[in-house]
Parts: sequence; C-alpha cells; structure tokens
Amino acid sequence: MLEIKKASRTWRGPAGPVKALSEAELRAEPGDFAIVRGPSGSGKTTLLLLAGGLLAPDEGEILWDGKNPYALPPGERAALRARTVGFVFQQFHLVPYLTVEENVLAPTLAAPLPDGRKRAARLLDRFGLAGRARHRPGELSTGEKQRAALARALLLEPPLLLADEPTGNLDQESALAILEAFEDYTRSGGTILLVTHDPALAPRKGREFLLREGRLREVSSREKEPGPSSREVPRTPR
Amino acid sequence: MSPWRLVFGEILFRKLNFLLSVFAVAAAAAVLAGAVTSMRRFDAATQAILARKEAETKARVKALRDEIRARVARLNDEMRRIMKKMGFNILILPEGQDLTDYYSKGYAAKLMPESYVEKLSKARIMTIRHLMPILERRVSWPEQGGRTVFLVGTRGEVPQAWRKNKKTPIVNRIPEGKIVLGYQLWKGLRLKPGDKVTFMGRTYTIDKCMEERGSKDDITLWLPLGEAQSLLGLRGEINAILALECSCAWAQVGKVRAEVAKVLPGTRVKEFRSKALARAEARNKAAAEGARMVEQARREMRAALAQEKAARARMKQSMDDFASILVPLVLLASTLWTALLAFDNVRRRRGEIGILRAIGCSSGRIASLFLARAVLVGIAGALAGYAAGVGGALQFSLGPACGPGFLQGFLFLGILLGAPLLSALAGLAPAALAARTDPALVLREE
Repeated sequence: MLEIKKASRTWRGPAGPVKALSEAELRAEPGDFAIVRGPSGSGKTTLLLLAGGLLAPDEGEILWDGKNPYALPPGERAALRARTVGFVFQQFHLVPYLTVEENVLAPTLAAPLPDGRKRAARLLDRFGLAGRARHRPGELSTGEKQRAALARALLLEPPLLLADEPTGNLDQESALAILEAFEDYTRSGGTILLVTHDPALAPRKGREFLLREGRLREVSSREKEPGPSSREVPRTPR
Repeated sequence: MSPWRLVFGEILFRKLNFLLSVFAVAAAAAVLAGAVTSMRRFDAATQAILARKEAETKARVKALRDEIRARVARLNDEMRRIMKKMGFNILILPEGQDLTDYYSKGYAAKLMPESYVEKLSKARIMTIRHLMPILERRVSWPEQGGRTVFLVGTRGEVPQAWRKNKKTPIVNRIPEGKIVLGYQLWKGLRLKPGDKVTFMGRTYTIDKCMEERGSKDDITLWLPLGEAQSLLGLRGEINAILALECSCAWAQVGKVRAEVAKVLPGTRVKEFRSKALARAEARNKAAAEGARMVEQARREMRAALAQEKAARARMKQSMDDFASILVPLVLLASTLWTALLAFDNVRRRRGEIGILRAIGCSSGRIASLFLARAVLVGIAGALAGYAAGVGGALQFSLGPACGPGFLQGFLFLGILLGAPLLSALAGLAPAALAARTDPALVLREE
C-alpha cells in the first residue's frame, strides 16, 4: 500500500524556487491502478520520484505499507526500494551493453534472487521477448524495449509499480499490451501509480487524479469525461 | 547477475574510453619499467665492461711481467756468456788461513808480508792482473762510542812492470790523509766528502762516500795501506792480495793456484766476488726495473679503469636525473588523463547510474562498479606497459647484451600492484561522483 501524506517539494531553479508539489495526498491500496494526469511541468515526475523513495519531500511523508522509506539510512532505503518498488519510464532506461535477459535480471544486483534466471525467462516469455533474450536494447523496437523495462520492473515482484509516461513513445498496439500487463499486475494484487499527460490513456478500472501546478486531487467518477475505451488507447502526439 | 558482468560489458561497449585509459596507465608503467630496466641494464653493462677491462688489465700486466721475466732470463744468459769472457777476481790469503774462520770473520786473521805482492807482480804469471794488497781488520771506533767497523788498508793496484800493454788501473789508490767511508757510516754520521773525521785518534778528510752495497762494505772505512798498518801496529803486513779481472775461466783456477804456489808457497787462492755476484746484481737491477715497469703499467691501467668507472658513473647519474624528472611527470600526466577519462565515463553513464539507483543499487555498489573498472584499467595498463617498457628497454638500450631479462620479479610485481592502485586513485573522485549522483535529478532530466 502506498500513502502520500501532505507531501510538498520545491525545486531550486535558476530563476528561484519552483514549487513542484504542494501538500499532495494519495492513498493506493493493493490492486489499485492510480493514474495521475497533468500537463507537462505539473509535477508528475516529482510525485513519482517522491513515491519511489528517490526524492525526499520537503514536507509531508511517504509510506510503503506504513513504513516511511525516508526515515531509513540510504543503504537500507535502497534495499527496501529494490524489494518494494518497480519503475517503468518513458525512456525505458535499459542498460545498452547488457542483453535483454541481463537487463531484466539487473534488479538482482541490489537484491539477489536464487531463481532469477527462471523468473526472467518466464517474464520474457510472457511479454513475447523470449526470442530476444540475447539481443541488446539497441536491436529492439520501442515496444519491445518498454516490455523489457516492464519485465525488469516486475522481476522481484514488487508490491508497488511506478510508471512515468510508459506508453508515451509507443504505438497503439504496444501501448495496449503494456496497459494490459499493468491490469494483470493489479489483478494479482499489485499497486500501480502511473503518471501521464495523455488524457486518452485510461485503464478500464482505476482511480484517476489530476495534478495541476503541484496540486493533486482525485477525479470523481462524475467528473470523468467519456473517452475512448482503454482498448483503443490512441497514440497521442507529443 | 554478477556486478562483473556490468563492468566487463561496459568495457566492451565503450572500448575507446577503456583503451585510452589503458594507454595512459600503460604509458606510465612503460616509462617506469623502461627506466628501471635501462638502469639495471646499464649497471650490468658497466659491471661487465669494468670486469672485462679489469681482466684485460690483469692479462696485460701478467703478459708484461712474463715478458720481463723472459727478458731478465735472457739477460742472465747473455751476461753469463759475456762474463765467461770477462774473467774473474781471485783472492790470495796467507799461509795456514782457515777458510771457515775467514768466512765467519769476514777477513783473514793470518798475515803475510806486504812484499808478497811485489813478488807476484814480477812473477810473469799471465793470468793474473790488477794486484791489490789489503790489510783488513774488525776494530772499534773509539770516537764513535766504540762501534764496530771494518778497517781496510789498501794502496791501490801494484803495477806489473813486465807487461808491455799497461792496463788502466780499475781501482784508484786512496790519497794520504784521506779516508773513504761505507754507506752506513757516512749516512749515520751525516758526513759528506770533504768533511773531517777522527778515527782512532787521527783526523782524516773524507775522500769519498760509498753507495749502499748491502754487505759489510757498508760499515767499512778505507785508508791508505801504510796508514792502516800504522794504526793497527802491523807494519809491512797484509792479510790478502786481491787480483781483479784475471783473464782465465774459473775452470782453470787450479792452474792459477799452482802458478801462485810456485811464487808464494803456502798461500791459498779462492774466487772472490766475481761473476756470480755481478750477475746477481745485474739480475736484481733488471728485475727491479722490470717490476717498476710492471707497476707503472698496472698504475696506468688502474687509472684508465678508474676513469672508465667515473665516466660510467657520470652517465648513470645523468640517466638517474633524467628519469627522476620524467617518471613522476609521466605518472602525474597519466593519473590526470585517467581521471579525466573516468569523469567522462561517469558523465556518459548518468542514465545508467540513475536506473541502477532506482532499482535499489546502493551508492557503494555504484562506486564499486567504477572502481573495479579502474582496477581493470590498471591491470591491463600494467601488463601492456610492463611488456612495452621492458621489451623496449631490452631491444633498444645501448651496451652489451647482459643484465636483467624480460621477467623481473619485483619490478613486475611492483607495477602489477602499483598501476591498479594508481588507476584506482585516479578513479576515486569519479567513483565518488558516480556514487553521489542523485538518481532523482538524472531521471527527472532524462
């Protein structure tokens, strides 16, 4: 379970401090698919980094199953993050000189996993990358790259998955596949916090939040505008 | 997955950066290995050159000594041959003189009339020449604390009136009132020709100071015969007649003895200080001259050797001075260059650092990845640099092919440990930078 309690964060920019997040509140239970929408520069990535234990809030707190990661020493926080959080980024962040299989296995550098290879093979098979296991990221399509990144995020079976514009660089078919994988993950009890600027990206079942100028609020079902089905996720021009 | 997979994978992926780093470390290792090997090789060459020259010197001195020995031997032979023709000296002693007593005292105790020499000079014995009557006694010199000296009275040569071809006297007579002193006497008393000296109550002028002979002559005083007879109270008496340069071979001495016996019955004839002595003196002189030549040659060669040694030492010093500047400079440049490349590597891998931190890698793990890479750079640089430096030094250094080989235990070990250490030191700051890279900043920027 993820809890964000009155979390604020200010960035120090060349033109002075910029309030990226202001007293954000969010609670996501296991099985929740929380989607945060907002325009560019609204503080989405800041919210995600805060939730992922990578950026301490100036005020407020972050809790993973009731535990504040920022109260831990850096080493312990890193170890807890490895077991608790999986990341999926728009830019994939695959290590270019490792094979797809090795990229998927990368989390074992932080948290050893005895059956890591088997799990990696299962994930690669599940995401249609079995034939690409020995390939390097440069030899993959963007969809394959994102699926490889997703497989990496899921290797240690973390209870929380954080995704930053995961479909931003994908075609419709690939985006759909990623979205389906996310839904599978939530069905198995995982929690997802996904940030996007794309109004069309919508899971079939999930909670929606809006982030504008650092302020986060949950969108009620009445506010939700009718849009295209999640099965028809259109590729939004960026 | 092992972290080494990441380290080796990255090295293969960014070969140029790795190779440039290895090159920098290898350059430092090569300069160090090359300098040390060249120095060692130079030292070995110096030792070999000096040893060879010393052996040559010894051989030349030995050859010179052998040659001089051979020359002295030849000189001996030649002198023996020459002296066969030169004749010899004989000594005629009084009747009844015991030779053992003569040898032990150094003079004849018995006496014979001085007129014997006149008889002999008129006797027409062809083989006898240069007759010299002698009166010799061992006496105390009262004016010099009673020190023992030999007193020899001589009147010079007695001419053989019957000979048509008069020979030039080979011994001059001592003038009246004069005295001749042996080496130890004038030397000890610090006297010189012309000085006055008192002997047994009478004062004489020194006529001559004799050279050192290494015999009893050195403590002998020579006076005119009459003066000696007067001092000793032996008027008209002598105790030996010396016949110098007798013209016959020693094998004919029996004939001489018989002829003398006819004229002076009962007298004894013996050879006296002739060719053996002369030959020995000549040999000694030649040997001494030879030894002097050998010593001089040895000194000259030693001086040449010392000069060579000094020249080599100066060259070594120059090399040391050059290396003491070059090696630290190259080490410094290599460290800086390696550090710059490591910083570049960290800069290029910011995204990778960000995601590794995001998936839970600690900052220590991130730093260890960069340090491990730096150590590998050091090891590869050490191996390449050692091979290049030592190989180059062995191939191109001047001097004889001697001294250290390719594998020099301590040098190899030193470079194999030192280069990774140096590389790790150079990579320390970049590794710290990587460890301190804020993943949030990186992921937000990218």
